[in-house]
Amino acid sequence: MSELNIAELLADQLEKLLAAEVSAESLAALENGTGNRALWQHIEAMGVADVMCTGAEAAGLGWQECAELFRVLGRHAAPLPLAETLLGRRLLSQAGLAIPEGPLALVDADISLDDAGCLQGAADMISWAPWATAILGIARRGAETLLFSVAGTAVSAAATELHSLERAPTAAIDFSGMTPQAQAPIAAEASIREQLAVVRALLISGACDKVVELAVEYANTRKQFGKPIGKFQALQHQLAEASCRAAAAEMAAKYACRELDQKQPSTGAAVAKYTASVAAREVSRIAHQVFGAIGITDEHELHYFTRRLWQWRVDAGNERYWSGQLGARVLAAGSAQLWPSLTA
Amino acid sequence: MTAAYRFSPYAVPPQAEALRAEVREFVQAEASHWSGWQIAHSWTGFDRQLSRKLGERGWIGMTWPKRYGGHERSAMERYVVLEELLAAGAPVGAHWVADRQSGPLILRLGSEAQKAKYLPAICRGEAAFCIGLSEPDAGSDLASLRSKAERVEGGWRLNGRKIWTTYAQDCDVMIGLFRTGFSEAHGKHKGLSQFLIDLQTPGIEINPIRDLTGESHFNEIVFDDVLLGEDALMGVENDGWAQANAELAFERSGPDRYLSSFPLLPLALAQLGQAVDDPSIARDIGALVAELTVLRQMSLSIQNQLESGATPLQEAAITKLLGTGLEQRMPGLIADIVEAQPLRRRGDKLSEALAYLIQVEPSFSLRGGTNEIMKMIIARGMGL
Repeated sequence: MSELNIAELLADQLEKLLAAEVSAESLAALENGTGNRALWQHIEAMGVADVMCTGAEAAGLGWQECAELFRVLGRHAAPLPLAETLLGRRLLSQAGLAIPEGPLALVDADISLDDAGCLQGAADMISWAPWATAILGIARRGAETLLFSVAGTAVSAAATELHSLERAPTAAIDFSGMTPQAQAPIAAEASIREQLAVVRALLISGACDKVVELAVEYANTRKQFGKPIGKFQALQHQLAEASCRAAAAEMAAKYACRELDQKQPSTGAAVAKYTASVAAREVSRIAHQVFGAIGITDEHELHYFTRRLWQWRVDAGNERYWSGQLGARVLAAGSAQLWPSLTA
Repeated sequence: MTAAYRFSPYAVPPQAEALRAEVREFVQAEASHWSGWQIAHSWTGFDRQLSRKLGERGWIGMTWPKRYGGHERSAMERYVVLEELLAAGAPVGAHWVADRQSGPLILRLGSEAQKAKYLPAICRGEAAFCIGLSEPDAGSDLASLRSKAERVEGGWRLNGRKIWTTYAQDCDVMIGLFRTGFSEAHGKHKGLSQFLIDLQTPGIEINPIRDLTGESHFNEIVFDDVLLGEDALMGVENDGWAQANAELAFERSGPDRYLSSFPLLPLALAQLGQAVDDPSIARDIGALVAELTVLRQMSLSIQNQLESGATPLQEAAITKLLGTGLEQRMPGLIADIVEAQPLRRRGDKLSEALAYLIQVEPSFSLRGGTNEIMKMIIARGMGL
């Protein structure tokens, strides 16, 4: 079986599992802290969390192959740290470190390792850290880039619980003074921030598709002035715009996946997260306009998606951050490099 | 599930990339003669001499069969040539319409005689085509057009008027849509036919219309008992609506739908220099480059689908809507970033290009179907 078939099969299985298991009730349970981890056990049993691991025995699926997996997670607002774990296990395998059981969380912050072997630095927000058996990050030591891992149980004293818009288990952690459980040099295809940005762009693209779908369904059923509101051109035009934004986010995220697979330093992450963050903002805005007051209620499922879109928009850099990064690179490269780099 | 679009990243294959350096070198040599005002015209700049040079190099009708003067090269090789020309603002208007629309239409539906007559001339860059669709009372509602063609002994008689036809005054041939069969009461989309019309034919009067820049690109064309031979009918009688529509995925997704204002950007970067410390400028430039990157990917993805025989009309409408939106935003935004006066001043390419583009950008979301029509197509595809 070709690798793409394995990836398609897994995306399909994951879609079926999440369609059966994820609902407004299970999302609410996660968010109010009474959720259980039974769903995570299903995921582990599927073997899906290991597919991006590299090495002789591993599936070693690339970004393009896994794009749909991430989009499925976004489509269902999956109450699982699967995206982080897929990426984390890949990083561990790339660094040749042992992979612990259970979910992982990722640090998107500047951390260093001092001469005494202690970490220095803090992360002001780590999604899923309270669930993670290990927390991974990149630390600098002189000119070296090291992947480090700290046990979930070791950080609880240094962790401050946070309530993000996503309402997934989240914490701020000050790593200063901690000794990593494991560390090893890593030559990853991109920084954790870039990789997380692409992951968030894929999640956003999946969630945007879902939100547009919900809004179209509502517009075709909700009647006012004697006809479905979707018959009004004003709404059709707004939904068409939302659909354009979702399409651009998907294109941009998949483009970034291809760039990551080719392992060249690239602008893929910046393009993807800029485009997806704009889409997250605009698609959620339009969806709430279409749904009217009912979309603002706790009872309606819309907010499980739009709150995640708002959170993911800012995670790993918002659109202003990434357009700034990209623009600075373009300016520094100079006028003569513009078109050659766009067509490279 | 509503519309699931088929956008996937597509890399230009190495064989097509191999052509890029050659085209870029040619364009750079030519570009030294072009003013800022000229490059801002992009694919609406009309220069027969340039078209002939491109024809000599085999860069027109690139994908068409060799027996009709074509070069049997891949669609991606053609794409590389198009985007290199547009990025530099080359005045390619004298062959653009023929290469993009009229030639492929003739190739698909024309008679053997029509192919032999027109295609080799297009490939040489010697036959300029225009499209006769809109009428004074039929714009976005194109199917309500009324100009008619009646069967007469030995051919057809045309009466009526077409409007907004770009460069009709300089073109050789028009492919026009005329009512041949049923009246509008039978269904607006029925009974329309396409005709190949030599613009030198007696009875045709071409009246240029001055636009707001002071130039005359488009025209009103009056047909007063214009007699055409049997061989003027293009494709199937009364099937013209479907014929004209089949080309739209090509027309709406090419690089000409997002690069019309692009030549401003390298000029602006050159003026800004490499040491810019204003983060808001970096953000604006970064946003433009991100959008250009995504649109190019969308456009390439559609090109790839068209190659494999699909007709991605929804995707093309999305790409056009987003692409022309970017083209329209660029002139104003760039003028603000560089704090340039949009004015015609000899030798100041950026100011000249801005002066032209700020005046014509409103047309970008009109030509090839308005934004409102694109949104209608997208909404329909979404099941609304």
